[in-house]
Amino acid sequence: MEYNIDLKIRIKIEKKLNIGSAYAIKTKADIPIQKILIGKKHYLYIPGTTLKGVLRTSLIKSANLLGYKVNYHIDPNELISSDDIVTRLFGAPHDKYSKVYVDPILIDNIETQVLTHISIDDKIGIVKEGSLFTVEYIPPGIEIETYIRGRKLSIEEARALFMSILELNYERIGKAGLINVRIIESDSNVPEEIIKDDIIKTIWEGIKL
Amino acid sequence: MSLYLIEVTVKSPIQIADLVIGNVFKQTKCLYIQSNTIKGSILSKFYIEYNINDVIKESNNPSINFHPLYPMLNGYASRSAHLLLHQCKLCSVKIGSDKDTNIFVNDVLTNKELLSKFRFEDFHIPYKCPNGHLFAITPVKGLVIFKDKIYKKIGIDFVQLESIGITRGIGRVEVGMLYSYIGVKPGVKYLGLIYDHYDKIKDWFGGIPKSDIYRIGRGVSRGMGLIEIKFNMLDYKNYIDKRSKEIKDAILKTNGIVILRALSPILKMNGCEFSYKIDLDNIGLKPMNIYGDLNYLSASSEILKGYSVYTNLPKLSIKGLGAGTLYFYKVMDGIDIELLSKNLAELEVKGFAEPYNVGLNIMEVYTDVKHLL
Repeated sequence: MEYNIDLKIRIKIEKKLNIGSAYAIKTKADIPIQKILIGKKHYLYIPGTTLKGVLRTSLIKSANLLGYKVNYHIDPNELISSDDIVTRLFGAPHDKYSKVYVDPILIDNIETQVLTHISIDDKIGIVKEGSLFTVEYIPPGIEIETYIRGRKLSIEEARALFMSILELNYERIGKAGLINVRIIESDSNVPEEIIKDDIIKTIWEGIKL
Repeated sequence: MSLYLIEVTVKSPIQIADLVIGNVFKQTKCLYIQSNTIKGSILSKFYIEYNINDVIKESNNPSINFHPLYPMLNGYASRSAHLLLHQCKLCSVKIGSDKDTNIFVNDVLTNKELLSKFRFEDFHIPYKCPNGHLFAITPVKGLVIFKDKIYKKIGIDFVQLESIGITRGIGRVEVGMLYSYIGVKPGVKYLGLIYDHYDKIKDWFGGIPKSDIYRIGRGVSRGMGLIEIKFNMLDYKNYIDKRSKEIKDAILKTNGIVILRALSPILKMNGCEFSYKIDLDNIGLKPMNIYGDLNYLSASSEILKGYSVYTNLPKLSIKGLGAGTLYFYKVMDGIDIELLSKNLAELEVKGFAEPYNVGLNIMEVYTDVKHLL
């Protein structure tokens, strides 16, 4: 049996979040947040690939709890031959399609913060010459929403997806950011057979809004 | 039979890539969305999300005709530039005092006599622009819109995104795993037609598909390629009548010359034979040869290729004449122009030669000419 799942996720920034880009306009900070200009308005852009990457890391770390052995390598050449739950769910180069789709987030109307940092020379314990830099952050407390969708998932794959979403709460995202993740029940679409599964039910009850 | 006008709005950067330079994935040089790409996007969603298994038959025996999608600007659909449009490199953006463009049309399309005698051997790119700049003329490349009887070039906004690979062990960036993606920016709009002769889409849906988010191109699982598609059902008869009238006006204005502009790659397949010749004798048009026995002015070639999600195999790559190719025909003696116009309008929708259902041989009558002559 295969299931389609649509989960609307509310992400609350718990610790200042920066998802940087080498090509973003460096007017505000040395390490700015990626932005996209649409019309005359700049939107902060959190790519789906960032969230999907953290979901993948979450599952690699937590798969053992579900009894799976997984390959933690990221080299495309090694992933091609891999056939574990992580590659089945999140895909691998060539013919292993991802069954999970993560929408990107475009944010407007929020004030970002710029903090100044230094780096310390470990040998002498004082600041390194020329290493004063600024970073643009989305401040804590901001809430953003996106969709995570699973397509043609088996019950095992659905379990793994819910597990990785739960684990997101403990993962670092971007430059050492922390987030709190909740599933908005009213805007999500999860088949009843899936919710009946013990593991999924426990996770669902714990993180749904 | 059903005819849909689809409006596509880009919601997240889309990347239809065929160009990879090192770790940089660049948007394809083709600025419009080819038929097979949009067809794949829509049918994949039907199959994966709406569980319509009949969609698979479309990959073996295609019957729904998807037209290429061209970007829109201020309500005008763009088209690929052709060889009879020129621009001056020195004029910046103005030709004359009241025209906000540096594009001008070759005399062949503004003079009935020159058009009727057009031969490629006699064809010369003008050496002087309307503002008098010498030897600064270059062909127009890319997309143009025809508005208020002048051509304007339009550009598409692109955005560059980077991705890195994170080593799971130590949580730092993996050496050599920095990737760049250059894609079309959110907000760009496209427009195109779908012709469904056997009403398959209606049967699958029990009506017109609702507006929804679809995914197209590369990286769809990680948030790239989100597009919103609105399906607008058109009245087939009204559309054909309206288009027939425009075509008839153009034919009368050109004194019986029909110019067809390619919207998709052109390659006619007849069994194992491949040809760029499109015969329209059956509807009363004979080729107007402009070079030897060739009746077309070719734009640069284009490749139609793809990948089947269903079979997990790359599709056959087909190289044809590019969009913007112009075909020239003359109306045969004794042909009813009214009927000819109707036939041409129907062929515009259906495609001019096999295999039009895979995204080849979609053309339209170049009706701009009635405003130029």
